[in-house]
Amino acid sequence: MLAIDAPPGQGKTHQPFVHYRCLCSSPGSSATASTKSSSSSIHDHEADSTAAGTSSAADMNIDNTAASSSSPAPSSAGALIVRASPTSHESLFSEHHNPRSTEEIFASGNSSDEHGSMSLSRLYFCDSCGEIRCPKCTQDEIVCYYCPNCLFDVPTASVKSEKHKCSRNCFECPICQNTLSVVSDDPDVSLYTPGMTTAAGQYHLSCNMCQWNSNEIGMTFDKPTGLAVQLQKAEDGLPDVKEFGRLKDHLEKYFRVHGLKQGLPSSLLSSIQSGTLQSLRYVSSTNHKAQQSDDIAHYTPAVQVVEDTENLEKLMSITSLDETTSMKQRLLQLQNQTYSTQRLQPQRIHLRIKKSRRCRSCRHILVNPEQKAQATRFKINLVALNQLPNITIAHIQPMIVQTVSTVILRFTNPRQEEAHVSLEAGDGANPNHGVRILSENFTIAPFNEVWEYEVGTLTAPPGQAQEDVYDKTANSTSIMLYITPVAPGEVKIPLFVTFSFKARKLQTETGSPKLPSQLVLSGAAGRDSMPPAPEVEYVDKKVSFWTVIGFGDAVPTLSS
Amino acid sequence: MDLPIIHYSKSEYIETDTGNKVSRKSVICGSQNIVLGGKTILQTGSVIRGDLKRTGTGHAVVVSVGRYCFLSQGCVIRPPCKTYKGVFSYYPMKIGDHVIIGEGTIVQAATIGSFVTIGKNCVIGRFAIIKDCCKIEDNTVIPPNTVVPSFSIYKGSPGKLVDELPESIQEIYEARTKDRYAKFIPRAD
Ligand SMILES: [Zn+2]
Ligand SMILES: [Zn+2]
Ligand SMILES: [Zn+2]
Ligand SMILES: [Zn+2]
Repeated sequence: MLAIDAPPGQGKTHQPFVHYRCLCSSPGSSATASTKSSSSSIHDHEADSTAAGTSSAADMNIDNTAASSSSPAPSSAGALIVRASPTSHESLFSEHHNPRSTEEIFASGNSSDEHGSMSLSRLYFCDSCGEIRCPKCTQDEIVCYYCPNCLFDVPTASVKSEKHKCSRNCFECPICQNTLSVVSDDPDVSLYTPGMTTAAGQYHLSCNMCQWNSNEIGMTFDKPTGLAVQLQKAEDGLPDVKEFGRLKDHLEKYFRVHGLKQGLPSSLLSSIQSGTLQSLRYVSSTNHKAQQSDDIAHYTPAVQVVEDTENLEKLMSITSLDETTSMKQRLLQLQNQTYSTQRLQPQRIHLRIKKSRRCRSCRHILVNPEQKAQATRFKINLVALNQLPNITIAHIQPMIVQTVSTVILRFTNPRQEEAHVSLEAGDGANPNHGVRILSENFTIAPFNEVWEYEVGTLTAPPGQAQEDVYDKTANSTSIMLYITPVAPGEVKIPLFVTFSFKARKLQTETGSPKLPSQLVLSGAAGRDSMPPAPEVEYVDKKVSFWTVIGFGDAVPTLSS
Repeated sequence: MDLPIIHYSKSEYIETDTGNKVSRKSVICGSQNIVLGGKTILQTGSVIRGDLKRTGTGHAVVVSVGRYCFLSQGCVIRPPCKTYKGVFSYYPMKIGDHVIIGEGTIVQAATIGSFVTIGKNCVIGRFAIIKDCCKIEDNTVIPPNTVVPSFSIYKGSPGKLVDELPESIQEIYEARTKDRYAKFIPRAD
């Protein structure tokens, strides 16, 4: 009996968690979503991807700023993420905003998946929509470019000509991608000063990690400065780089003539130089097909691809894999993609970006960092953590099937105003574990700086009506839940939270929410949330959202 | 989940006026050259080499650690060294506020900013610079002279950027180190 009832996937244990759901992954009103568990989120993902696929044309018209709409992923240099346009998302949202009956929501129940819900720390809260927004529901915009090694800001104007790479002395090892140092043959050499006489070829690049040295490929420098200029010159002379430039000019001419806004900022294009001539050939042939409808002039590649038999023979005679470059090494040098480790070049380091985020639904700015690369402060930072109650599992009993376990949930209020919380358990989950919430309605005291240092020592402020809750300390209230798992395996429950509080009245609620991006970027929007008027008006706000709370794995009862 | 309460033996730890809690089983060399910012915890077996200072100079701060830092069991804080103009020397190290350094990690960085979490069994190479709001995953090697920019998560050997931290990370790390300090309490005995 025990063996049959054992939880599936015994090797993996599930940790308790509290996840919040953005509207985009919450149970929707569509009928299909309400029957099967997890179908609603799948539906939404599909909708998302189709929106992303079909709206690229719309994207071009909407983006006014040169560098918006998409941003390179931090880890994969040059990867482009084209986001769906806000208009297509608005329709997606309005669907969700339809009033739903509680039965419908509960029927869809626990449709959680790991991707749809996330911890509060990754979410945003748009105070003009009054909704949670996940990173997918925000739109990134580039605020500034900087080098992750020397941390210098790079003006947007020079980003394009420098091909998204640092033009100072920052290089990456072609073997292990660690940062290289400029070293001298002469160990006694002190700081270089211009005008100093140095031995020719005295300086070279060296890797602290894998001991690679640019001497190995015969690369030396006379001076320790201005190496990037030398390297970029060599890079620009490569046939693939030239070919890419030609093709780009060719297509841009077409865009200009037809008055089309370029969908992608061309500075981004320069970082995705697809170096292989094969892909260029592909592009030119597809262009040929499109000629009838779009009348793009036929593109003739300047470089002709020839059968590379020499390379093939060399590769066939290889006895050790160390003699050839790895796929990763080749992909990091798109402009030549050599198979010979001898021909790998040190690379200038790719720039990183700082980005701001907008709500996709109302275009309100959610995150706006300070412009300087090294600053870690934000002019606007509407993260959910500072605005919504933070739910933590304060105490948990082991989960046993058909046995009541006690769980203490703590709700912490980050706001400066008292808040009211009401809870409803979703009962349509599969498996539908027994949930009993002992206090479904309660208040949480406001956050107060003074209490910060005495966590857990203060009781409810005087004058407060004593509520039927488990515990009340400082700005948090704890409540008790009885959980009765019905099946072995991971126990997680959907919980619908309604959070009401008094908020300062927003100026923008009366004004137009669509601010021109230039204005917002210059920091003017920062004052939106803080009206200068001496008397602060308060409005009642009510926010509802789904959470998914996991309590770890339930073990079968011995009696069964 | 809430952080668990850590009970320590009252006889093992010394608490300073500013609330630092230092294990008697830690190795503190050259304590006159070490500054602890307050409410910082040095656990059993942690090592700080304040004795490794630049030759010739008199009294100088060699290692400064900020407020609400947590130096886990067996971690080693060792000032970075190099030979410059033929002279071998050690250089001072600065660690910011709200920094957690994991068990068995060796740090030879030049600076570690504030709101930084370094995992277990990491090696932070000589003269590495870790900026504010960073996370270094367990078993990561940060090579010498590496710069880790803000809001990065580094992992691997050599450590590379694998992800970015959310914008709320400063608040999260600050709350976590404060919570850790509040839950590091003497055993009732
Ligand atoms: Zn979303
Ligand atoms: Zn640089
Ligand atoms: Zn290397
Ligand atoms: Zn919004």
